[in-house]
Amino acid sequence: MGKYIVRRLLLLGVVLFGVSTLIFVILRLSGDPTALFVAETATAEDVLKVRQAMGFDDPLYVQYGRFLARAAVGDFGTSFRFSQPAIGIVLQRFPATLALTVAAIGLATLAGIPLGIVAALTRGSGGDRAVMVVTFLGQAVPTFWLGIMMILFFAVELKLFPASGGGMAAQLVLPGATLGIYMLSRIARITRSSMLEVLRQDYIRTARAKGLRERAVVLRHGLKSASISIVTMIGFTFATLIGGAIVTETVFAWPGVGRLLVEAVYTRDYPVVQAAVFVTALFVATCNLLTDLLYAYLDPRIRYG
Amino acid sequence: MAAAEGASRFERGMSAGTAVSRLRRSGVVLLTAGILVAAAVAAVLAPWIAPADPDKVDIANRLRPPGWSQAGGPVRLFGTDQLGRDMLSRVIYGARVSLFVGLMSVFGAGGIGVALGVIAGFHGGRVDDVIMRVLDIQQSVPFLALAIAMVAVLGPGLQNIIIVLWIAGWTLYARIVRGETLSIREKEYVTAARALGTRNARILARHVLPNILSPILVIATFTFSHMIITEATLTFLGLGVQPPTATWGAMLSDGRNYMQVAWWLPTFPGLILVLVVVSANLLGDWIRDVLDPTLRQTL
Repeated sequence: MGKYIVRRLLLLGVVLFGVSTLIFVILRLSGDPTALFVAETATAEDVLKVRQAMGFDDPLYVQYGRFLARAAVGDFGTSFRFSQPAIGIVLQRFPATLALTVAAIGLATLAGIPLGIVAALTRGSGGDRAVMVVTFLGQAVPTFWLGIMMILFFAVELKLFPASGGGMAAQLVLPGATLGIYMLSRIARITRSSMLEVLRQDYIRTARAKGLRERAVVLRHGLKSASISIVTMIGFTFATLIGGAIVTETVFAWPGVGRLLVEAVYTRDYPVVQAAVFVTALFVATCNLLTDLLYAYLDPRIRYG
Repeated sequence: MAAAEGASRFERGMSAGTAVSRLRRSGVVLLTAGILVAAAVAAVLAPWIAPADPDKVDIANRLRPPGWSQAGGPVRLFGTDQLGRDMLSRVIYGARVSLFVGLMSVFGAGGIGVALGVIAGFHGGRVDDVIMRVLDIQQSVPFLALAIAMVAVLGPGLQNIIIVLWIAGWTLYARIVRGETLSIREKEYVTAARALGTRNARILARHVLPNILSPILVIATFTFSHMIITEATLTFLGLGVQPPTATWGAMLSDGRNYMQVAWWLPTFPGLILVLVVVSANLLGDWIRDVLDPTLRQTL
């Protein structure tokens, strides 16, 4: 297991090096990156000064080396808007994004697993079909529209929850639910298919034959075996939630990294854009690493394979 | 030989005859195909079928509810927006942008992804390593975050959105096409073609590409809806197609500010968007099951 962890940590380092390179390449998509660091009204003289100050007139390999050296210590420059290190601003907002994604995953797991189990146990019934339709729609409906409809129904019409803002638990309900529905759908589907697979096994038949109660058969034997694929899916989907969080935070004015990223684009605060992309990639890579490790822990064939 | 291999892949799903008969039987598939065709027709014929000019401002009649009509005037089926523009006409014109971006993105991202996937799978070795590592790195950045970062550099606008979707969207094609190519590369008929001195370009054109068309078509169907959603999302965030062009994402973004007094503003464009996306996904499911059910684990 130790070797496996070391190997995966090395891979994480490679991915982060690659992401830094990707950010460097993106910065140069427009040709001259200087334009991103000056005001739109800047004169040619101002542009020249900024170009020299930021080293954009150096050879590309020199710029690349300097960029990597700074990225390695999390230095993506100073925010134009806040006049503070960009990485610090992004990290300040990160707990809010984490709270949102954890709320979403909590809801998705608590509702998705029971739904999947019920659908598997009543395969082919009206209930099963209803679960399948709802989970299909849950995966297809765009997050931002779902969020708007949530606000329209639960905040504007029923006045049950606040429509926007961050800080209070009540303000987490609608964005958490909006972000969680996609994941709920995926969890319910994978639980259903894993349970259907497991419930066909001989040991389940044996458990039933020896007179175990159905609840024990399903939860202790069935769900336990199905949990490997469910846990893996939750881990990998958790990482992808950060993409959905960008939209959800904007719709609900939730003060997280996603909203910060969008605002940074509006205000042409490119150091913050770079730092936000790096932090989200780091989050995704870490989630994937933890999922891999958990998977290896649950399934010895992986770590010794 | 290639044809035989192509047939064998097709048989992994079902025969063409069975597929057609199942299509006829399946009301859902017909319905979803009908919805997509209707959206495409509406997009193409928008100038002729839209009841009003989508950009014509009529402040006196702003925020009129669905079904409202002025004495002697046409019925505003979807109501009017905050500037008095006809919502139905804007939704119809919005289909043009969404479907155009969806198609262009699928062709562009598909072209890049298929080319790189075939090169990686066919050549193997260092070329494969480089392409796959680039792919791994790109996939470690959330799709939307990557797209937003690129828009931040390139600027908003229809053309830039399409370019961004090309660059951000090629990875799924490349990964699956590479796997398929790796498998086909080892087939006996490819070995035989090589032994006969056939050039690589000809092997790719005659033996590899025809046999990976099914998975490409399946991925294209799924990514079509994904690209439409991404365009609408970027436009919703103010980073996509700019006003006054009528797009579903922009209508949703504008409508959000008025939803307390005009529920129809965010509702109708969103419903149509969902309808198109769900239809494309259902059709994608069906195409996958017909052409290549082995992709069920991936897509």
